[in-house]
Amino acid sequence: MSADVSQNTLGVDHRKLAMWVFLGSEFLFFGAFISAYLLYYDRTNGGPGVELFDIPYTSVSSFVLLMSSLTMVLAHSAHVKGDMRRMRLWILATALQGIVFIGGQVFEFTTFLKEGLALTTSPMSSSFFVLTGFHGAHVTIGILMLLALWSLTHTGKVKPDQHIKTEMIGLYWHFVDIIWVLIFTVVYLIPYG
Amino acid sequence: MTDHDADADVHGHHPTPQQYVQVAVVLAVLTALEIAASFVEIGVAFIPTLLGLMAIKFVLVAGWFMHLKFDTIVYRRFMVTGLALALFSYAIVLVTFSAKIDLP
Repeated sequence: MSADVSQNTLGVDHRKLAMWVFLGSEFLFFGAFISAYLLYYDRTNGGPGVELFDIPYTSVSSFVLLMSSLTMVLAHSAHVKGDMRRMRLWILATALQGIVFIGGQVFEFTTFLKEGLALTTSPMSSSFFVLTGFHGAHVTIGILMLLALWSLTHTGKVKPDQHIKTEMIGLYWHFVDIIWVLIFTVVYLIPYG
Repeated sequence: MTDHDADADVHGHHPTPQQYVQVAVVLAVLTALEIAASFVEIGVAFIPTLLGLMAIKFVLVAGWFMHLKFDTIVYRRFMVTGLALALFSYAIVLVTFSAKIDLP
């Protein structure tokens, strides 16, 4: 006789439960930075502010990240069906879209620096760079996890019946996407409008 | 035991790839509406419209892509608890500090 060690007394998978507890706490983490930005977005110390935002450009980045959630969920769906070839393809597509998003963010930050908006320019710039920078760090960690998953499927360490692993990374990736949905509206669109 | 995800068996079926694509199309349309709202003069409806569209996108991603609509309610409770705590705590912070900043 063997107990199913993946389940806890709540009758749910403890790994997924742990991920949800972590994601729940991440709302508090990002909420702090979003609140700081909302308090300071008009305190520019006479320097540049939200007028520097290039909404069409950021919209494209946002769209890419949003669509990466689709490829992520398709990767999980393929893994559930045991179609590892298609799963790897969607995982790579997701990682690629994440890389495009990060590349866009690096370009945006570089443009802002050239325009005189640096980390220590004003309370607005500090709160903006810290918030979007931490989000970018989360996306980067997500990309590394996706690439690790992709390589582990090649070495056979992630098997067709272990779709929980893809689902866990997917949960993290979708959460990062959800946070960007909030940031795009609250940080970019509302102050700009 | 295997590393198999028992939850998926216990708590019903997940959507099909076609349904995921349909959700993504809706998300893309909502994003287009958000961007359009930023360039069209809609007056006092601007912020409520954007917050409403944002909330719909949030629910769609969490419900469909993160499977909260289909998984056990336990996960949803943990997510909602974290979100509610954040909203409550930072609403207090925003109200308190906004009032202080406005002081001469």
